[in-house]
Amino acid sequence: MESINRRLAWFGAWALILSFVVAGCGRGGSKGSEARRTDDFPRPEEPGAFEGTGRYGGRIVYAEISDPKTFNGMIENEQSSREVLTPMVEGLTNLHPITQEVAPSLAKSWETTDGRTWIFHLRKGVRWSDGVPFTADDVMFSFEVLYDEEIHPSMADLLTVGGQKFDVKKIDEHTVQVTTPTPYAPFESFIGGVRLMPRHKLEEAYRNGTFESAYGVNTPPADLVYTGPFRLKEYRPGEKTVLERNPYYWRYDSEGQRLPYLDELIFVTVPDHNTRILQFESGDIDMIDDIPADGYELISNGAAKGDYTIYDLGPGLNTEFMWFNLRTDKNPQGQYYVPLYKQKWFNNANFRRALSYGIDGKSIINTILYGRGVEHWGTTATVANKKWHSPNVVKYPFDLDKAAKMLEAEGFIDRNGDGVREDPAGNRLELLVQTNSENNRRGQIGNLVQEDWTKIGVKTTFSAIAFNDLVRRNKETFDYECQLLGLGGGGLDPASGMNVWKSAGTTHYWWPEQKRPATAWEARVDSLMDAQIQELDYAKRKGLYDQVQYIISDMCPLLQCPVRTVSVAARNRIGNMKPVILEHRFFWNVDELYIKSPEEMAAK
Amino acid sequence: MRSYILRRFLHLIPILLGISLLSFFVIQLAPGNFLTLMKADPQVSKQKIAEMERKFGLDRPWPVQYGLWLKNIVLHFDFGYSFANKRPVGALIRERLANTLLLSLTAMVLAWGLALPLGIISAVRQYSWIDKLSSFFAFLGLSIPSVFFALLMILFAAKTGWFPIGGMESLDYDSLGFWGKVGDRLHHLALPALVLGTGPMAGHMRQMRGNLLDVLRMDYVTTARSKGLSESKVILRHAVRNAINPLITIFGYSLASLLSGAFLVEVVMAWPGLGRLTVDALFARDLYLVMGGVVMAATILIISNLIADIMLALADPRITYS
Repeated sequence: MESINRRLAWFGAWALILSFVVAGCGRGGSKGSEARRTDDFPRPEEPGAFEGTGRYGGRIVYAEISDPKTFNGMIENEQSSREVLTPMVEGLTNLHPITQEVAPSLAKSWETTDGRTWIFHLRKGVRWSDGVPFTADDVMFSFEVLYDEEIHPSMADLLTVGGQKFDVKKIDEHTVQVTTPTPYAPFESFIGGVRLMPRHKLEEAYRNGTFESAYGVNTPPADLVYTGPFRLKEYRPGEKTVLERNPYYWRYDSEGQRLPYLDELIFVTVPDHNTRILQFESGDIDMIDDIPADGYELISNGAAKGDYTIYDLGPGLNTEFMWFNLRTDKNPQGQYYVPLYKQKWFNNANFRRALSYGIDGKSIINTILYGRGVEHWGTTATVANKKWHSPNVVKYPFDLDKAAKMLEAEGFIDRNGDGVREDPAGNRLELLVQTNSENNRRGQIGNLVQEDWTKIGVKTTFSAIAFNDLVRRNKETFDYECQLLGLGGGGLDPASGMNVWKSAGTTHYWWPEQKRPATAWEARVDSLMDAQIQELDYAKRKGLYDQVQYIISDMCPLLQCPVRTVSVAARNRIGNMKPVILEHRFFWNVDELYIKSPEEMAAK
Repeated sequence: MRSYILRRFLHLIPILLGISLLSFFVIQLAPGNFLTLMKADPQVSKQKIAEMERKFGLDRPWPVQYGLWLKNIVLHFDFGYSFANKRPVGALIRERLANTLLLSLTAMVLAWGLALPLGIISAVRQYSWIDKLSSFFAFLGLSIPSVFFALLMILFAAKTGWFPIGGMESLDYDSLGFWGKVGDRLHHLALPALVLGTGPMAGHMRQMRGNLLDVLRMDYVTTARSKGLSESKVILRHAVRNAINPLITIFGYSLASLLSGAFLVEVVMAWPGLGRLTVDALFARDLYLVMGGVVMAATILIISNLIADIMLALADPRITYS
């Protein structure tokens, strides 16, 4: 018996040890190094200026939800790629997220005389990250790619008016002229969205028709050339992307030091948000974006120990809303998309208003958002959109009695005492609300709304289905009654909502792609949107868009739910950290971030 | 034997054809395609979506798409293009396969390395404290959902600092020496392999115990003992050799199931593997990447079953193949 035991014990122990060998556990920390430094790389003739200062050395680690899919700034279209590209690519201008105004980037200045012709003066002496000079030829090349029919980046549609592209002309090595067919108000906001690509690296691929697969994730780092503060050092699929300082970067601080300060910027892929939170707490990663409502308390309690700060950025830019299927037409098989009697309900503005009063915003904020939200009505211009938000909208604070009275006034009365109202023709007031099952929060909101609406005699069924199914219903088959979805990202400029607010728009939720506006108020919104896109005077343009916000809130095609507030956290040892509500939260000023010295940390 | 192996490899072809056709068909049944998400984005124009549909071939009827896919594999060994990752499917799978195999094989070593000895001890010392303790942990291991266990381990790693919180290697991996690198890998493998291997380990241990108990009751065991053989020879050379028969068959499925179960562990513990790639592709309706993942998984399953059958023939002289 003993020899068996010994053998088996040895066998088992070997298996155990093999699996649990603990090697030296090094955890990378970031140490700063020398403070000042000058370098031998040529200084541009017209450098950009940063009014502050910092300290060289160190690295920052940031966790993304998934891998970047491409490093091609012209064709990327999802968040993980965008996050990694932000420190690398640049445009003529960029949006300063704190002032929310357009600021110079690779164009140091620009002007227009007639509102249609814009002259951009490029920054002299800027070089690509491989040292090759940046000139107007690169800008011409980038626009040629932008307007290419085959490649057709989404950005091109925002820089096209009535199907007409903008005319781009090279004036000289450092001057480019762009002419729009008609005055185009969002021009200044949108032009910076064109990422400038190096002609000397990509022209060949473009002529060969392989531009879209150029600058993919397996591009050798030395070949990935841009003008931004960082350049690619290494990419490991599924694991991490490492960026290093671009020694040719064109910005200098107030003490004449070239930016950026950091040696490295590392993006690790951590798909699970629980793991991200734990990694943040233990110091593996240096910041955490959009702290989930249920993790907020845990993270704020650990702030002192983990040596980080929580930044409450206020209400975000994402809206969540419900809407009814307002189609009154028939499908190709000759049947109404929405049964005739239900059309009468949904298309009755007072019906929609009444049900909007039935959405308990305060409870949603307190119980579902853990107190982290604000009520919102109108369009997608939340209060975070400083330039365009209008407070003059019709509001619908929760009031079940008012909702009930409004329904009564429209003839929706419970005539037979079964708890469910009937319309004047005797049809029971029943409806189906759907949202996407992947989103937990929407499920909770749907349940709450279902309860409240049922209380006032509107028998509501709520179901969560797959997102793709939801989109198919509201974009292709239109067999739905009421959906709960949200809109996020996009831009601040009202022009980014053209497809939503115009009746012919593809994302005009309640009835997309109308041939002619179905209602007078939709026609009015159409003409307002058409007018604002040509109105270059900000005050006048705002007046037009304010009216759109008012009409949308008044006619209530969208029943708005509260907007979430956003909080983030970042390690205290990172200097010049100024998180903002807009993208990119932490890295909009990545070239200014630095690691504080122990002396600076102790001095606080 | 050789012709048998050859025939088994030939079986791969109709099986893979059947699996791929069925998978392709089932994917088409679900509403929407890769571009559905983009349709909901107000900033993507209708033409752009139509162009992309044409480019990706998504506007053709599905049998045509399937035929083209098959043709590309047979003629050019080209598994197609991943819409989401904008790269060929073959390259993507190749990159992640190694990571997943590393994790799965380590989990298998852990599972089997513990299951067999513990199972044998439990059977030989039935009802002893070892047996009771192993059974307890076996039931625990079988009942605990792997996601929960993974999260628990991540929490454990965070609180104690003894193990890394997910990930496959540390940020400074490249600057380590050879043994440093080996150690780093093992350090990162420990918890994921534990989570992945616990369920199978528990199951196999109970199986081994049960089989061995049955065999130990047989007459020939008593005969062997009365012949004067040492106890260890009786148990290991005779009893276990017979008891292990069903476990070898299970071994074939074990690897394949580890590959699929790895998805949850890969997500929670940030392990860059094939499971995560395939499931992400599934949610994004990245058609050709899903197909590539399915074909790969099917191939591994069939090959590991073949290996198991060969091992069985080697272990049990009664079994011959022709």
